[in-house]
Amino acid sequence: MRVTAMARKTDQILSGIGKISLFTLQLFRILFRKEVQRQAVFKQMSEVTLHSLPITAVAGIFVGGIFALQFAAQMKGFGADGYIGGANTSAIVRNVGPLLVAFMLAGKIGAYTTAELGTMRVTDQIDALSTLGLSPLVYLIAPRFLAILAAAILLLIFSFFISTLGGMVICHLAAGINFYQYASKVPEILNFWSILNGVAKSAVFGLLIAAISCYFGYTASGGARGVGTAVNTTAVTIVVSLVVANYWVTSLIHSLAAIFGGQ
Amino acid sequence: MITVERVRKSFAETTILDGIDLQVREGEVLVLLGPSGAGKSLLLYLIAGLVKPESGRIELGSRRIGMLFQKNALFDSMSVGENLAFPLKELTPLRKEEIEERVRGNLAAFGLAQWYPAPVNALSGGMQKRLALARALIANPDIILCDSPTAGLDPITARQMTDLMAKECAKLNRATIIASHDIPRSLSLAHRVALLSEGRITFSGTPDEFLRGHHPAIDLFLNRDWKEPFPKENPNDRHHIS
Amino acid sequence: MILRHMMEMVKLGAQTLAVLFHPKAWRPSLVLEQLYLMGNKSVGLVVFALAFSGIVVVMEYAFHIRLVLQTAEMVPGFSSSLMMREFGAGITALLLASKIGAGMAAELATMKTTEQVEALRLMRVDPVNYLVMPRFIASSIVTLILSIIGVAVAILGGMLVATTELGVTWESYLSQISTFIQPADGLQMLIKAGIFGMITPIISCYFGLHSQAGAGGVGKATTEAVVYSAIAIIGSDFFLTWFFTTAGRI
Repeated sequence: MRVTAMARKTDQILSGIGKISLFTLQLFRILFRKEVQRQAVFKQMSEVTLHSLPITAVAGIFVGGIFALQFAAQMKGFGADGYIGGANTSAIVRNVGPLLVAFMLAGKIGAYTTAELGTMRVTDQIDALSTLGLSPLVYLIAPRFLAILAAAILLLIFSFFISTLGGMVICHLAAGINFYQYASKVPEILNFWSILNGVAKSAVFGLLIAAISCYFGYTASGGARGVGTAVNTTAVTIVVSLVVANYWVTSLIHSLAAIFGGQ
Repeated sequence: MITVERVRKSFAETTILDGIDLQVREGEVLVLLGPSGAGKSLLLYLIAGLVKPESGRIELGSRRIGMLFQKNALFDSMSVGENLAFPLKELTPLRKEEIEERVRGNLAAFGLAQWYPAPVNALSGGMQKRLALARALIANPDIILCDSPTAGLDPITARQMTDLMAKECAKLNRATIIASHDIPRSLSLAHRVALLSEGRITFSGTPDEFLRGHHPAIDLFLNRDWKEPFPKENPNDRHHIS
Repeated sequence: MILRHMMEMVKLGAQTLAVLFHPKAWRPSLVLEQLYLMGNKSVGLVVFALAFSGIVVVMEYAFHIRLVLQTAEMVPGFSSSLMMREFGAGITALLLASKIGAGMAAELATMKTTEQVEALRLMRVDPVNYLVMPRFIASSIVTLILSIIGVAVAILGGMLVATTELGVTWESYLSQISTFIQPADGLQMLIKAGIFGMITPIISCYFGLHSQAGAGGVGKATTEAVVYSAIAIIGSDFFLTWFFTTAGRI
């Protein structure tokens, strides 16, 4: 019966959301109680960030370029050339920048974390920690969670700049729009709420990537096959959550802006 | 007939096989012993043609190879019956009905008759090994290679597996190489024994010669610096494949 | 290092295409099996994600166009155009890279760990023919079909927002679509979807087949499949967009 299958799936999804939320709360509690070594977190964070910087730059430039081209094509027909720079930058910061780059980070950082933690779980390394009297959550997961979270946010904010740069360059190459023209309308279009939108999204996306990847890695089971399944689940869950979160944050900031009289 | 001449193979700057010479005749069972990591599996892979040697040559004469892999390598996307049918489908021109008949007969001979439609993961470790052996032999191979056929099995199941191998391999009477750690079980199947250590064949001879000889490599392998002598062989334990 | 990977992937792609030219070697039953496995599990996902995307696109266009033109008149047209040209194929492909790309890599890597790929080769079955090809065909078809469905859903989602928030009537919405969208846009979407659908299986199967042993190997292969697929999709999206927009337009 199609309906019962859907009902079961919905239940699965909802309980999954619940479990991940509880897991994340646990981790935050550990972090707030400062039981975690700052050194370890900082080291992991810088490693991950540096390692992912090149690919984020590449993705960022491409994304900036893609939308520069698409918007330019749309605006050309309406003689709105002057606004390309502003519109493109705004769209990137508000929306497509964080979202598409986050898609890539879902794999680069998210899947990677799940693979690592999942392999440790499946080869009993996490249990080994417990038997040594060390809580795996405190000693292993929480630091990693924080490191991933921070790295993701840093990389996403970095991507704003690199995407804007990419957009600028491509507009110049493809539509002959020089940098001054491009930058001229930016202050007019890119307002405070948009920037808040982008930053908030980076934070939320970072949180989703960190929480989901740590959870599925930590709860992996079933040998090599189980690790593969966990990574697969992480990738899909993160991507879908990103799309939904994208909508929620946009809506939320929009409503907030309306309340405070902005846009 | 399997001929291996001066075969070398390295991985990432470590030479694992450093000049292997080996010959196995039609109908002969060679047991390949050696410490872990010595390269027994690698040698089998080379003979099977799955890996190419750096230098030296490997001659097989006849073509069809049946191999029992260390981890069974059963196709987990297929059922038991489908696993057995697979080599017949791919390597022989038999029709569907003929294949099914052969598969069922084979399963019966291996004591797995009622598992025909079952998924592979439903079988226990010992049963999966049996199925893997059945699949290796079903298409009438000209050469049989077995990689650690009793690995991970409890002593009773290992004994059953060995008896099964004795029976089925005798039926086919082909050149056979068995790589193993399990000395008593595998020696009972062997016509000849070869010891692979430090990249070379350091001993080659009959099982008797192996057990009674005092070659330093053998001593090391059999832990002979114990005070306790190696237990006397019981002649009734021998399975001779003649 | 990356260069070596890329060369090997191109090689695998060439091998896969070579198999396509030998109809005798085709295995229709395997293709059908993969079509079912991939399609069945991904439809819901695509519909869900693209609906949300469609809503956001309209919201964003409304925001920007109001800022510049003070009117929300042309929002449906612009939004649908972008969804057709960009998001329909792009988001679907990225979603599928996670769902079926990771799945393929994990599956093949697990098979590699248990020596199943070696067993196939021993029995004279070419892994490219038996494993990669069916997945290649299935992925291309599924990506194409789901992109089409995705665009439709996204446009519907956009229509939902436009009619409720922006005071646009659905007749006006639909008529704008027909004015704004050209056949070339549809072509852009189909070609993008097709190419993205072909990239993901090659990359994922490559990493699966060349994985290292054990749980670590499987995890690594799956991760690399997702990352490389995502970046390849984004990269080729860029070049394809360049081609479609500069060819006559700008």
